[in-house]
Amino acid sequence: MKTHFSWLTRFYVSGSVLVTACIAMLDPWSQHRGIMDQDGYGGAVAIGLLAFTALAGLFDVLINDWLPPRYSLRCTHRHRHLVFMAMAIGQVALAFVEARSDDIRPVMARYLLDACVASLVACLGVYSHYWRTRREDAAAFVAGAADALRRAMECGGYYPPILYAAGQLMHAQSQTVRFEGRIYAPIGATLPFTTSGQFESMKFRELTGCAESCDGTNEEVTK
Amino acid sequence: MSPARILIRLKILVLCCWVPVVRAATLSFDEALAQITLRESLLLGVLMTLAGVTALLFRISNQVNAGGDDKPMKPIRNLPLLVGAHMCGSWLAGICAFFMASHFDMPGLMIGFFVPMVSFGGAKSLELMYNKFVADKLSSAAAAGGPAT
Repeated sequence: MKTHFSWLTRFYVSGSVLVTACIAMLDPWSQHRGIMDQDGYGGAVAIGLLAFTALAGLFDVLINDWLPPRYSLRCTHRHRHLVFMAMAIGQVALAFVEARSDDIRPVMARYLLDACVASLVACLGVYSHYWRTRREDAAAFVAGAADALRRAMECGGYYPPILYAAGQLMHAQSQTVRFEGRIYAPIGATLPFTTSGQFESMKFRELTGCAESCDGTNEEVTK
Repeated sequence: MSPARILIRLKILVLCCWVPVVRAATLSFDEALAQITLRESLLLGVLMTLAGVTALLFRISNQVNAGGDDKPMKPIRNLPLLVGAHMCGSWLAGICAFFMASHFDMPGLMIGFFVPMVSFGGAKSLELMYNKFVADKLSSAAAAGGPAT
């Protein structure tokens, strides 16, 4: 599901965080390892969690961007921002440990940069997803209205008839109802009104020549 | 007991608790401030903000995904209020968490993970209150055709 944000950026951030975690776990002389060792067992758990979130980010890229669309997973797309925000928080936590020491080493810049990009990926992803969904909803609404208008125009200005029932709001002369096989339109002077259980012939006039060409339903008209 | 009487009792309770709470907060605050540098406090602020942003993104994403193919998405109303609720909850809970972490002498990486987790919880708590007292009322007002203010 290639829905938002560049896979390359997500791949880079996830890969970078995974490399950081791997260096901390595998290289006993690295600066990352020094930070991890400050908290003993807790540090190892924290680095393990960071590696896990990075793997989740890489898994998301693999499933949703590299493999064909039939392998796409909706849940990974839905919770993508959580993975990247977790990465950002983990990186800032490492920078926080570094800030507690007396001398700051350059490795802190890398943590903050990765955190910045990861949080940016999450925020922009949700932002673009939100606005794209709103655009799609608006487009669907416009398409539905255009379709209703087209069908009304095809019927000589009348909307397709709906089956007469109680509680239908009549507010335009272009609305039509079907009652006992005949098509009726409301009389303008009686508008607006709500239909009752019994057909009120005083409020409707019969249309002829529209029954066959305008068959269908358009319930939106009466809402 | 009527809601008005419950409210009066709650207000009296808050007034009674105010002095000891302020005293305890001052002690914890002094104790915590004695241990923290400007750099650390800045990074703690970033951690709390990130946790609040995470809760906010979670909320927005849930709202976006709640709309299906046949159901349009509900637009987000009062975004500044929503952001403010998340950030306030996150910062308040984060500061409390930091006081606790300082009190129990937690190591650095533990603080770095404990504070944002509590901040996230605080933001979600205020979000629940926002949903209960603001969003639901807005939806009801919109459904009734009234002004959505």
